[in-house]
Amino acid sequence: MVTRLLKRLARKPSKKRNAGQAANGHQQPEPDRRVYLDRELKQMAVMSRLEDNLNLMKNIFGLNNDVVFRHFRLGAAEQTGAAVVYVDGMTDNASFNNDIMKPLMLESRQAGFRPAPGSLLEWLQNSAIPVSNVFETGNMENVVSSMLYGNVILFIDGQDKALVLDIKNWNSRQVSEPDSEILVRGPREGFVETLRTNTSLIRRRLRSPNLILENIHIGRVSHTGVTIAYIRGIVSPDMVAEVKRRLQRINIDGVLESGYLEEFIEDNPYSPFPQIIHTERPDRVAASLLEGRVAILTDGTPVVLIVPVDITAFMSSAEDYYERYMMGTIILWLRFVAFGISILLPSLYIAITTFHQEMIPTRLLITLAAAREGVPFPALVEALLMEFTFEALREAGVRLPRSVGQAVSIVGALVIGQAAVQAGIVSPLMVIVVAVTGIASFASPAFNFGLALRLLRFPMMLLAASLGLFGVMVGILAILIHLAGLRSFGVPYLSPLAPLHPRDLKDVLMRVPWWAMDERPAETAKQNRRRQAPGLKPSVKKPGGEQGDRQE
Amino acid sequence: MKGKMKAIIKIFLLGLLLAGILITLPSCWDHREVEQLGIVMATGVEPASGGRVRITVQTVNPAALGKGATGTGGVIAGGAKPYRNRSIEGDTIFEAIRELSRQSPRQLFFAHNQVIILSEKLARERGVKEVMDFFERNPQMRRTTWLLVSNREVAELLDVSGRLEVAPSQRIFNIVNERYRTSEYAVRMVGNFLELMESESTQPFTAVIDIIPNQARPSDSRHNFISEGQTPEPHENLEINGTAVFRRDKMAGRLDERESRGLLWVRGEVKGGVIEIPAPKSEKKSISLEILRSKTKLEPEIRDGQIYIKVKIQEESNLGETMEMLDLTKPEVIEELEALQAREIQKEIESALARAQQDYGVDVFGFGEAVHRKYPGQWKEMKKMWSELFPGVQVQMEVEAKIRRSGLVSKPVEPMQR
Repeated sequence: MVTRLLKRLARKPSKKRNAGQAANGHQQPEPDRRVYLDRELKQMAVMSRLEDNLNLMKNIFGLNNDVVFRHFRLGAAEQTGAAVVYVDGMTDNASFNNDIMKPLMLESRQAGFRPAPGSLLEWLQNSAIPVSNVFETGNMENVVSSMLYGNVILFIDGQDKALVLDIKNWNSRQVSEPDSEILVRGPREGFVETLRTNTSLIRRRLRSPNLILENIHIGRVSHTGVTIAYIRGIVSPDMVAEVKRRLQRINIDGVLESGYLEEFIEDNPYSPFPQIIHTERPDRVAASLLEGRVAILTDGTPVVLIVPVDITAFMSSAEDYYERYMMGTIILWLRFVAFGISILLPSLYIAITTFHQEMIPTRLLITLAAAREGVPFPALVEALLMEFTFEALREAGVRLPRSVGQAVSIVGALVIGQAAVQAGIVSPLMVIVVAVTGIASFASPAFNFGLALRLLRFPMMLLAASLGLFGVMVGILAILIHLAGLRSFGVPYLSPLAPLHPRDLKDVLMRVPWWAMDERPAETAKQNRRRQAPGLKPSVKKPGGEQGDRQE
Repeated sequence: MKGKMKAIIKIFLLGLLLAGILITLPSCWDHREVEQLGIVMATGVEPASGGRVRITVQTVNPAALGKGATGTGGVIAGGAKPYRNRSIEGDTIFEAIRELSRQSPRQLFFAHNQVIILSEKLARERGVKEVMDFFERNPQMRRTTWLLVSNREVAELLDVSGRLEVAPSQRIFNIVNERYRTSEYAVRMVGNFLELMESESTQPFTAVIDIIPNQARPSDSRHNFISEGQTPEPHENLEINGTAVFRRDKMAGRLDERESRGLLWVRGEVKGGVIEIPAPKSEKKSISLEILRSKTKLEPEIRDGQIYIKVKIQEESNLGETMEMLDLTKPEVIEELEALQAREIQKEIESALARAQQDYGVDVFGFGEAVHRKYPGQWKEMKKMWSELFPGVQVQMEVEAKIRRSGLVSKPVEPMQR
């Protein structure tokens, strides 16, 4: 159905004037009107006359000023016409001049260029052009897509194949520490926008023949390269097949960020909870691959997707595994507490202060009543007001340039912290509640998970204000039921808590030291669970004992 | 495709509607904001003419506590009293409290009621069972509220000015929480009091609160506090002194501080306090020992138709102060002190026993329960006439007192000059 729609769209402009001429469209005198579909290009072949090829290329790209057509002549007697076509700005200029133009125009002539016409291309590849990645193709679709990826196309008169010369080079960001995932201890490298650089960052960490980086293209217009990374022998083959199946289903015009893919391949599109983790850190990707997960790298974005995940993955940061394990454990617990606070604190405050005053310690109740004396709004309105202000401030702070952002935060601190309280619009306790909640929601190392929590806070507050603690309980149960039913690529979201995998709790309820982390998660690495040799705990050995061990 | 879209919109609208109904229809029927509450901190019950009761409630006035927003946290800001007392008469407590809503702009909220004060007159003449029903029945009333008896007017008692606490009720509450500093009165919570009322043998009791003149107020009037910008010490103080013992639900009499501790020794509830013993060499000088902990065991025995109860007490204490020179490096000195201490504990118990057995004839010690536990068969007969049997119970005491530490010095300071 979609393809039919596309066909109609594609033909629309030429429908009236050029009806029926689509088949031999390259002869059309109006290159700007014609839409070239991949399907049609695939059926076109490189022709043996140089002029025909160039005409076609000009029809396709003639209106672009960044596509360069360079004519020249080959051979000692300059008898053979040739041309290179490339996209300016995507190739290495020095390499283009030295490794392609120079050999073809000067050195080949000096070497006494007299090959038989049939073996011309072979001779060029073998002996003339010192470019590492060269292949010949007879298909126009290959020619066009290679050129658009930054390759140089060499057409030669009399040859019905074109040479694709890989001297891609374009400006890209340097590998640097990702701003969104900063660690105190750990590698400072982050992914960049170039797919090839990103794959190299992973490969450098896992020098295994079993690290597989499979490439597919997604996007009818954008032709975005997407790489699926996994480790053969650890990952379950079904998982890889499922990831591929879901990715290949996607039929979209363009993929500009991995967020596009995320929404196409997640299990429950209506859940506020992210079911795919994303990261800009190659070390984190490598760690996930070692656990039997699959990484999806998208060209043009440093954000890499990792599937499948469970809720605990959003609670841990890469640093937990680099710092000492006790700290890692404590920080993990801290995050769990923060998780509870960021969902529950405002709603608990509302529920308890408006329905269950008997639960508040007497002195606190008196303080609270004193603070609320003269506040004109019910607790819910007060809370919504403050939460709204906080969220708006946060949003303003994120988007504004740094210099203005500072001004906003000062105004925000004054407006929220001082003026609102002094004016008697909100009580100071509510300011504390909102502030603590705000801080807690940032304590989750995964930003998208924190977003889900912030979103859920509001329905929880409404429930608390209408039904009290009963409503809060209803809300908690509803969230819990939802989480229990949620899956990420078939892996239960709450695993290893539910279904319970007691041995995997070593990585969830606490971060055990590395020498105790003997096994991989049960849900992701089903067939290859052992991560390391058992009994690696460092200990003082009796003299001679170690030798005995070594002999084994 | 269009149908699917419509279905999604329908579900979405339905969800929105349900959410709206959920929020509006229950209309938060028991929703109340904190500032709408009149937080009751103390309740007093007194008898009124014609079988009616007079209720006094103390509510806090949060605004006078200094608003959290601007206030500096001072307890009394701008001279406004941080509490308000209201009294009303009614046929029942419940009715009286509802009548109070005609006076009080805020809904009275009893969940934070900390003390209940029963007038001694009510307790002696009419009994407390008719008023205890309300405190047992009402869901807002906690069973952990302290119950006190006073022969003062409740309104007067709840208006004794203080400095440190928000309201007299809080002051009483905090005094009660410090009960183990002396262990000189036996106070009960409402729940425990009710349990004692329901007991077959043990009689209820609780502490007595009184107003005493403030000794710290300067006697001469040279000070002009107002012009010095300082408020003078108040004239009166609140004090808990002694224990009221009940026969069934009527107050039978009082135990003084010493007798009260005797009662607590037998019940094993002494967890602190000071024992004064005479110095071994000079009778007039005293030695103070601080009680650390104690354990009590009651061992009843029926022999030849006579009920014996052996009270076994293990006590530990620290030396708190001595007025006499003592060489505590010698074990025999300590042993002597321990013996004196045991004797003193015995005397305290004896005084309580004398009061309870001879004067009032009420078993507040729980002897009946101990007998019940050991002789459940014979108890069935005994319980009917326990009040006659109780005064004749022979009590034997076995006190084991220990002194653990002697503070920072082992020898007291003595002037060495010749």
